[in-house]
Amino acid sequence: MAIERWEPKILAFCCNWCSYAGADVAGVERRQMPPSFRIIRVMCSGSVDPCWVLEAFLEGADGVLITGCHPGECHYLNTNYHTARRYRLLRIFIEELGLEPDRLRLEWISATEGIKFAEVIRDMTEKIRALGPSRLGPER
Amino acid sequence: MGKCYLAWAKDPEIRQKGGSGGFVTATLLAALKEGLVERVLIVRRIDEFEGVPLLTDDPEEVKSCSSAHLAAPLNLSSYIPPGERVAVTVKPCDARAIIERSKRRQIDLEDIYMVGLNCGGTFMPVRTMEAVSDLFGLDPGDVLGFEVSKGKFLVEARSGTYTLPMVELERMGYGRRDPCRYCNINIPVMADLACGDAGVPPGMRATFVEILTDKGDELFEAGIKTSMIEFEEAGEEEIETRVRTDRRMSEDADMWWDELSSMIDEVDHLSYYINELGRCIHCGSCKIVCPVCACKDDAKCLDMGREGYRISLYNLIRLFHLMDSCIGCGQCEDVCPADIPLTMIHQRFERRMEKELGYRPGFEMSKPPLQEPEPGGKV
Amino acid sequence: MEFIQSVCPGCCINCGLYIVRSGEEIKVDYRKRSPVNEGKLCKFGVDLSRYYAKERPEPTVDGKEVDLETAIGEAAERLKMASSAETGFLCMGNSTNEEILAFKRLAESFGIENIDCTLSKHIISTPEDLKPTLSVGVPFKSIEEADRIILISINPSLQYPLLLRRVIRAEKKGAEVVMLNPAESESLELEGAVVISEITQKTDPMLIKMILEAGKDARSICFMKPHANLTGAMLLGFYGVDISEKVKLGEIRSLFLLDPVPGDMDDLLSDLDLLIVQAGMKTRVSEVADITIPSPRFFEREGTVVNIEGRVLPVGGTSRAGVESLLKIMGGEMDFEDVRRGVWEVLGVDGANEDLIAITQGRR
Repeated sequence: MAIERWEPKILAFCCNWCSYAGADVAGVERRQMPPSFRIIRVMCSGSVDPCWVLEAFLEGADGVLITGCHPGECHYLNTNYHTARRYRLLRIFIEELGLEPDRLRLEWISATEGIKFAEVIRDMTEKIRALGPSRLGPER
Repeated sequence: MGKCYLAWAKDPEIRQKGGSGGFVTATLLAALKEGLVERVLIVRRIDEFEGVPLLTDDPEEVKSCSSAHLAAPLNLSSYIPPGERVAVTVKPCDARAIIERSKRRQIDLEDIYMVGLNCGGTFMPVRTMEAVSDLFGLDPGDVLGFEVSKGKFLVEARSGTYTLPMVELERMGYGRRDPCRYCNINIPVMADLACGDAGVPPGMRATFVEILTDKGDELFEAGIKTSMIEFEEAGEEEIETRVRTDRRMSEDADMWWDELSSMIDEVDHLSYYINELGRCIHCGSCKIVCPVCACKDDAKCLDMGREGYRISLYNLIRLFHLMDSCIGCGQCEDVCPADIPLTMIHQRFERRMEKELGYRPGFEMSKPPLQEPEPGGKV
Repeated sequence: MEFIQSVCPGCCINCGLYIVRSGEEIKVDYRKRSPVNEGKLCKFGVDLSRYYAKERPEPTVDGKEVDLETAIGEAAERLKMASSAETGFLCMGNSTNEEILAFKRLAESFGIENIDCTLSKHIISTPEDLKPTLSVGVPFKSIEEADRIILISINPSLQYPLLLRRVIRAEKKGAEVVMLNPAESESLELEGAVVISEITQKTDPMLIKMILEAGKDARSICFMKPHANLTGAMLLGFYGVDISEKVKLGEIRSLFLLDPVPGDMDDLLSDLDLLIVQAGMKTRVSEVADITIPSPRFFEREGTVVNIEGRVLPVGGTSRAGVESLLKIMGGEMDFEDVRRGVWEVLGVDGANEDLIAITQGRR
């Protein structure tokens, strides 16, 4: 009888103008990445409502990754600076809630950084594998 | 620190009847008379255990409301009429709520005169009625008044005076509301005036008044101009007494915080929150009474997902939204039909934010951190 | 901004609250001074302003708008013409004690014995000594102090959140709380327990019988009720026959409904010879009535209700119109004060007092 092995599920919110293309580059370049992540393309990392992050955890994500343009390179003035602020508060929030803060990650990844994207996914997957399943997900 | 005075109502009747020499009553009357405000928002006493908001321009009604009501745990910020100049008596939580509401364009701060009342905490009416009957064998209907003075709970009844140290009272589960116990802001420094007992020499019927803003000056001037108040400057000793009292009360509050909130640290946070918030029946009361929630009836959070979730999105969204705004007024906890210690929970998150960002909601007009960008986009 | 102390018409708990009036606008505010609920409300209470904003009926006769006096006069005329054996008075427990007693006196003045508060069938099949147990329940304080609480066929988290909170407090103090579904359990062991169940028109009479029998050695039994003042209606003796059954059988041809809520009988109402409705709110039922007599909204009424704990609570308003309409149909020998005195007498109290558990089951 096959024992079903738990694999981390990571939800990635990727900015249309940078890291979404970065993810594409990672694929085109055939970078090794575990199949642990699902991408939601957003028009800006700053459009990621913190509630979506919380909802992702409630829906069973073991980790949430937000990726956006490097500081100073936002497609819309400085909205990624707002992302950074929300991220900072969300980290504190999920820590107080009792989730490991490392389940949430913010990375600045440009359209050309396929290598970085793949690295982040690999690293995050390993970290979350070590943490085990999130306890905020629906009862299994 | 602003200019400090000992002040009282010139009218001997108001001075006698009002708490602490009737300064607040006299100042409100002066503000009406001078036309600084159209109406005043105060608490109308129904009896010792019940008070309701009153918005009035009638001096007689103002006079009848003199002295603070300890068992009317209201947040008056929610009753301020839009587009009208009003003076409102504020506890620190009322004042902080007004400031936060004004940031959200619910109130125009320009129109509001905040007459601050130093506050050592308020009481839930029913629990307090139980206290006087359980501990002193009194019929609550026979209670003429109660107060907290020098660490003692004093009940004035038809049959005499009854007293018990506050510590004992609260160890038995009576006393102030939980959020008041751990609230460490006793002087409403964000109001226009701060009025209180501390620092008033024993036996003197007067209020220790600190003037905190230009509007506070206006109010005080109105009192002088209309000959409603009399005053003398507060001496160093009196100021020192007030500072000491404030410090002692804050320390007491911090002790309560450590004690009450340590219950959460002793258990697994997530299990604690899932368990407590799991009782939520989604009536929406906490949102309705929340002075800093700007959405109110238009809010969509109440209808968001909950089926199959360990914590409903409503609860998580409220927790997150209030993380940079909760002023700890306790209204949500008061009305929660599931007895969830909501204020404690919101404060857990808010105080973490406060420690990390050095921002305290309800003190001045700077934007809440969630509305600001992170300088330099640092992660 | 006028704060009216009122009680919630949502169920038999009668939570205290304020109706805040500014001009025509009505809001609900939390009345922390209420010993019943300490200010806390469930979703119904929170949304009460919407409930009160519902359209109100006009006085009508045969679908035509008339003035109130005409409607009252016509009601008296037609009741006189109807056969008393085929006439029924149904009060659904959404009225004040004063209205219910006036309604009862009105029935008596026409010699009508078919009266019902929707629960008659349960009451008449219960032995006399156990009848009080059906009406008034237990003080919430005593629920909090119970060692053992048994909930039978009731889910307070859905129906009675303000009761649930007391049960949870008891549980936190160490009480054992059991939820029972009698269909699944062979016998009920209720000794020493506070038993909580619900009684509605649809409750299986066998269930009530079972609980009452097994509950002889229970510490107390509390039957929650879905409407605001069914407790008062039962205490005032507003029961006799199962009217909905009689309507179905065609034995009742004329019906007077006091503050009805839509129910499973609605389809049959249009076949009646005479339907009179007195209500503070427009409903499907008042729409099909031959005669509609409007009464004030619940919070506007002067009068009292008896909550499930046995407190006699003032509703908070000042309008006597509901009672007075009923008295006028009767012919005007009684006035409001007479009815009020009558209520005090039947209930055995000196007046309303929210802080007093005035009525108890008188057992244990």
